[in-house]
Amino acid sequence: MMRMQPRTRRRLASGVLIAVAVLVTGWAVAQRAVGAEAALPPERTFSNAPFIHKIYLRDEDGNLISPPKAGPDGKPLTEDPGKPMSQYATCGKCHSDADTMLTGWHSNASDPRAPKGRPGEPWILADVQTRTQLPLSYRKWDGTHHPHDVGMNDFKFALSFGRHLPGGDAALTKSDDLRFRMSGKFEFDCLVCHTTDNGYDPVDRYYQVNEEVQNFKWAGTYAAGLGKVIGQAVKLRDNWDPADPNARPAPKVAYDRGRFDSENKVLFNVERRIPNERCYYCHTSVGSGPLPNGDAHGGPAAPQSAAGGSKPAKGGVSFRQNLENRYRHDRDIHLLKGMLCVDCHRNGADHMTTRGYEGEYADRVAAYGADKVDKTITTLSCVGCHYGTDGPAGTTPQAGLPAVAPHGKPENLGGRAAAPRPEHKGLPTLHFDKISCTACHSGPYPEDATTMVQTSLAHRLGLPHHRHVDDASPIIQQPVFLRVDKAGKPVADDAKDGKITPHKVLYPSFWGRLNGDRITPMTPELVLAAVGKGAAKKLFEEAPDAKEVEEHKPLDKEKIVQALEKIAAYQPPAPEAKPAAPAATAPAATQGATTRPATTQAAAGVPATPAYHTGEPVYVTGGKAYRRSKDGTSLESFDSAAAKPYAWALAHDVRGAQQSLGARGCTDCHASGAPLFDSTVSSASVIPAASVTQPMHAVRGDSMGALAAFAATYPMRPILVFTGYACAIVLALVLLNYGTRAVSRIGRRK
Amino acid sequence: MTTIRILTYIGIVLAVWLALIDYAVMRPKRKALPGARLRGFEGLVYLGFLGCVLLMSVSSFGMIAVGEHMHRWMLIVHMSVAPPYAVCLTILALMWAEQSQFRGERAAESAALGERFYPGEKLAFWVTVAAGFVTIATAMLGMMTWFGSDGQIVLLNTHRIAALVVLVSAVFHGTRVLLGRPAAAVE
Repeated sequence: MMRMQPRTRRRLASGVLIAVAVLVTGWAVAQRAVGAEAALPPERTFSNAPFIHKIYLRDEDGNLISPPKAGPDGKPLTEDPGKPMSQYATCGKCHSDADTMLTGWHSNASDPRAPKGRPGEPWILADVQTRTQLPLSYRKWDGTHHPHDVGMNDFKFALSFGRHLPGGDAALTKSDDLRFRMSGKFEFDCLVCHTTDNGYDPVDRYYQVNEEVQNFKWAGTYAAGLGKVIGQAVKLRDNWDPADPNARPAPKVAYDRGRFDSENKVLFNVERRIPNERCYYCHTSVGSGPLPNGDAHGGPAAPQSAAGGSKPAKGGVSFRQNLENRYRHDRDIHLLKGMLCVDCHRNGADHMTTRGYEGEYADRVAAYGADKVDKTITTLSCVGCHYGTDGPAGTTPQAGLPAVAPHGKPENLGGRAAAPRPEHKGLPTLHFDKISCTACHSGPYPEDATTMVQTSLAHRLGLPHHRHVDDASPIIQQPVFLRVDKAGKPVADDAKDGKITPHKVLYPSFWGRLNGDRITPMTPELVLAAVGKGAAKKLFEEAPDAKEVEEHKPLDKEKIVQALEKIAAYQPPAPEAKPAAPAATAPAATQGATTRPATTQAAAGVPATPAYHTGEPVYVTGGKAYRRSKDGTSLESFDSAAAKPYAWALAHDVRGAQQSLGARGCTDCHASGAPLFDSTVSSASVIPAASVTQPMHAVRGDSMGALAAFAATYPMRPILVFTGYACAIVLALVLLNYGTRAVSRIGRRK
Repeated sequence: MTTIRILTYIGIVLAVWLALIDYAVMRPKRKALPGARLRGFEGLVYLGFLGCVLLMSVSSFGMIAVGEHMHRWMLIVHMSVAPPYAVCLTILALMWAEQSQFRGERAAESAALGERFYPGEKLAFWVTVAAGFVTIATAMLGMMTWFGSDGQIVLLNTHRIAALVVLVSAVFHGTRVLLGRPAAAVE
């Protein structure tokens, strides 16, 4: 064999080294390129013109979805792919900050790091048969119950309220509840808000997420009209294994090829400024008239006008609506002026939509730190927009807004969205310290009693049904004027930062268990299980059609006693023993939701008995709790924190200046019988004749002596004004006369 | 501490100080006058006026001094006393305007010239009438629907300043007229 020449050997070695270097470098560059692509910021145009969203669909694994091609006979040549679109993957391809978007208000309810914010509308677990209306919230607002604490796991919560849930919350996507394996996670639904046409039907979405179908993962695809969903997750058993060839197949999608263009892209009409109609699906609020006979269940009547129903305030016009005459309502003045909801309720990528209350900036700073909070939200409240952070002239520092920049800087200025600066002619500026803007300008025009209101979240507005009554359960009343601070907490009469603010109010009704001084609610299912089917029909009457929106009927004390007896005797099924787990004394503090209620582990392997299975059975309604008497034949009432009404501030619809309180003068409020003080609130008890009606000032705990005396002086105001002007004129003439004489005398001397 | 609260403290101190200075320093040098200076209806109106000034000052400046708004019963008192205050001031202006004209005399010459009031008292009188007129006018204008919030603030601040001036000048005038001279010797 010939020996290689040294020069050749050197050349060969150099070539190998160069090749290795090129390979290694190329591999490193490729790796870096892949990493860089994964870390790319969101793809945006930064133009005011909308980007036309003609995009590829992707499934949850990020794979492209294309409908199979059709053969000459029109039938698909291959099997439909079947997988539903994942909006997280589809939208997230360009909007790589999708995870940031999930930290917003619409999907952060179960995030312990998110600010609670001012108490808002809860999810109300309402059941007509068991006379339940229970406020629930993952945010743990005072007066609400966490779903887990009442035995409602995340999946059941999603089923109960999925009709109006946008999805995406950790409770709905990270929960380990078993049934989510079959139904799929309840993904954040971008399109339910961001579609600008009727190409996305939230009612179709509901038909997929309701209890009879449970197709969470497929709902968005169906609602967007992308295809038909074949199959129902509800039919998959708890032991369903997708890998089992004999298992029932999961639901799948038969895509509509007509929705795809020649490049397999789909057009979604999406814009930055979302039309109001998208918001209205979840955020509609409709007045539904006076409480019948003063309360929902035969209690004392509100004063009746000749035409029936409660009377309007003196000199005022009744704008009372019921569901049928909604056409009388004028809509919010901001919308009438051409604004959109999103012009005030704005957000950035974080989707922390501005709520617009005065304490919002402080709440967010407390949760996130001042450097992470958008300062401009201070000028997106009523005061901030119309006045700037300086607030109306003459207000005290407590009544003002936090100045996020030195005086005069643009960040402090009002006039956002061309908001006019109100003059408030004739209104002493002291009122700005005592009353919120919404007290005079928002909600229905106050009358001599509260009226009922129905909302999308509580009364399933937006879903078609045949029967929908004005006094449907749950009974929510408005406006109830309470004194609260900027964070929405009730404060005393003499609190410096308290303002009278209108609220919606719900008096909870529910069955529960009393342990110590704490009442833990029971879900309607548990109540029916405890009472038994046959007895339930006798005591509570037949359950109405769940699709219709019905009213609570009264429930006699005798029946409540009997039901409480049955609940007391009820033995819940023994829970399955699980492997020993570390003792936990609180709900999980991590972001992910759990199904573990707030109990402690009693012993290794044996789950503790939830509080809704133990303790004395009670029924809460109309602001009172009821237990059986000692001899067990009657009811006795007692006070409990759990029976207190839950209130949340209302801010819409805003009425124009001519329809605000005070437009007709001071006596809109400073007069005997004025709604702000004397309008009545009913406790809306389920028990007949047990409702208590209170005037607003009593609900607030106001001392009325001076106010009543002040109101009594108003009829004499013309005398005061005449006297004052007459004296002023006389004094002016005296000063003029003698002043002129003095000047002329001085002139003569000179 | 707001501006109006500071001004309130200054006004109260000034009113008390002026009265004390006059009573303690100037009064002993003055001759006694025979008989009471005010009688009958005149005295009644004048005492009524002073009472009204006192009540209105307590109900307003008293609340400001402790850091509160004028509200609730204090507001009721203030507004109830306002009409008698206006009427009394007007009657006093009509009764004493002629007698309170300045004729260029010195204090020592007043009695000889047959003047009823002394120059210091005349000055306090006119300041009270002028400032009183401002308090009434600003209060009345504020009750109308002619002024927005900014105008309301101007009216309110003007009312407060004028009221402080009334307080100081009325207390001084009252001290001079009622207590400004030693008692006449009883023969």
